[in-house]
Amino acid sequence: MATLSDDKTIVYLCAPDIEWVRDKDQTILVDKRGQSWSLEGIEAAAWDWLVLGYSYKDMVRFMRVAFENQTPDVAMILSHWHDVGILQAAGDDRVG
Amino acid sequence: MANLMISTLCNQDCPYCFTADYRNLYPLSNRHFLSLADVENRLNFLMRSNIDQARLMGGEPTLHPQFVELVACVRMAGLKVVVFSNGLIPASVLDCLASLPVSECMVLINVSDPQYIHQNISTQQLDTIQRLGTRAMLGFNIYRPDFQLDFLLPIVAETGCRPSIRLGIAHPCLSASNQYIHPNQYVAVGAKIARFARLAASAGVTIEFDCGFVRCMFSEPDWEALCTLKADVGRRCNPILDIDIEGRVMHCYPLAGLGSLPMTADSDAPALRQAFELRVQPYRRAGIFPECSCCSFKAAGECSGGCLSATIRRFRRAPSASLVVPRQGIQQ
Repeated sequence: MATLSDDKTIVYLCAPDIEWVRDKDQTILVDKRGQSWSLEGIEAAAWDWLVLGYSYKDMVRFMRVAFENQTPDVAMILSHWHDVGILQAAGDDRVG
Repeated sequence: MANLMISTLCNQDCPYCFTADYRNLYPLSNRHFLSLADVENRLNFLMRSNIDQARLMGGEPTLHPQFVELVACVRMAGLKVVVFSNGLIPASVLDCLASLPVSECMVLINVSDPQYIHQNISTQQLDTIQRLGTRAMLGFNIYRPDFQLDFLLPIVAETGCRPSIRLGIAHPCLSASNQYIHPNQYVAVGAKIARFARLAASAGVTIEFDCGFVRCMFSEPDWEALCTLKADVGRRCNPILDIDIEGRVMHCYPLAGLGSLPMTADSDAPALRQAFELRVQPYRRAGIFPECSCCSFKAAGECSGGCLSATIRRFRRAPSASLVVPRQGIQQ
């Protein structure tokens, strides 16, 4: 069961009804409200690790290995997904 | 176009039947046939949608006990009659259809692959096709990669039916509880179709295609040959609108699992199609193959990316697990 976000942590969950498919050059996400997103490159990799159930810590470690020169910020990616509606934060009004 | 289901009953049990999900979602009630009172509603729907033909299907539509009266209503409304049948048609219905002007009636008779039903096309089916003459057109649904088509040409020659054969690919229902051709088998299927199209052309028979074919299932030489033969390869996938006897409108039978819309007194086909298109639009970014979303044919509108039901089946649900992230990480 998800715990609520607190002062030190934020708990993300996928928005309800998100479905996804991995295509040749991108990962496509859709939801029942008619929204869709296309994830490429670093974001697509982050999504793969997310759906495989890896922890934030693991994702950060994998990113450092896989994208050595780019040092992508996993937390910023997740925050962006939250902003566009792919993720919800536990405690958000939207989480249902 | 829109298809009107007039019978939920069928006298065959085809393993690829597209109504598998529909039958699970809406189990048979005691009512098996569209009533004549409801026929008027359906015809009004077609007319206000500017559709000039009544496409009657089932189950097996010719099992409707008032089929002759129903066809009379269609004719009275000034619409053409199109029937999707397996050819096992009752005598009175056959008399009725055979009496209609050739230009006003088309009966698509789907025949099965003789190597898997362990019998040749039945005498009754042959007699039916012969009796209907050019009102009849042969149809064949490909649901196994080891299909054969050559047996169709002698039937065209011997019965005098329309010199054209309509090919369909069996697509999966969303639950995939029917038999279907997996997209990984499309290239092999495409090569066999192209070979047959050349053979058919030499016998004066053209090939027509149902929905959900894709451009990349044909090699370049085969594609050029099909174009030369003026074969209209069905690279489309859109809401045909299948309407059941209860007035439920579906995108198409394979996508019955997406839900239905009611046919109301003022609804018309364009509005219903638009509603379904909105519902499925996000999935249209993808296709049946991982390459579809970056395919130039799809981008140019020359290919739909295949059957939407097969496309949607590629999608997976996102996990429900949570991810705990330190706020410090976000603020950096």
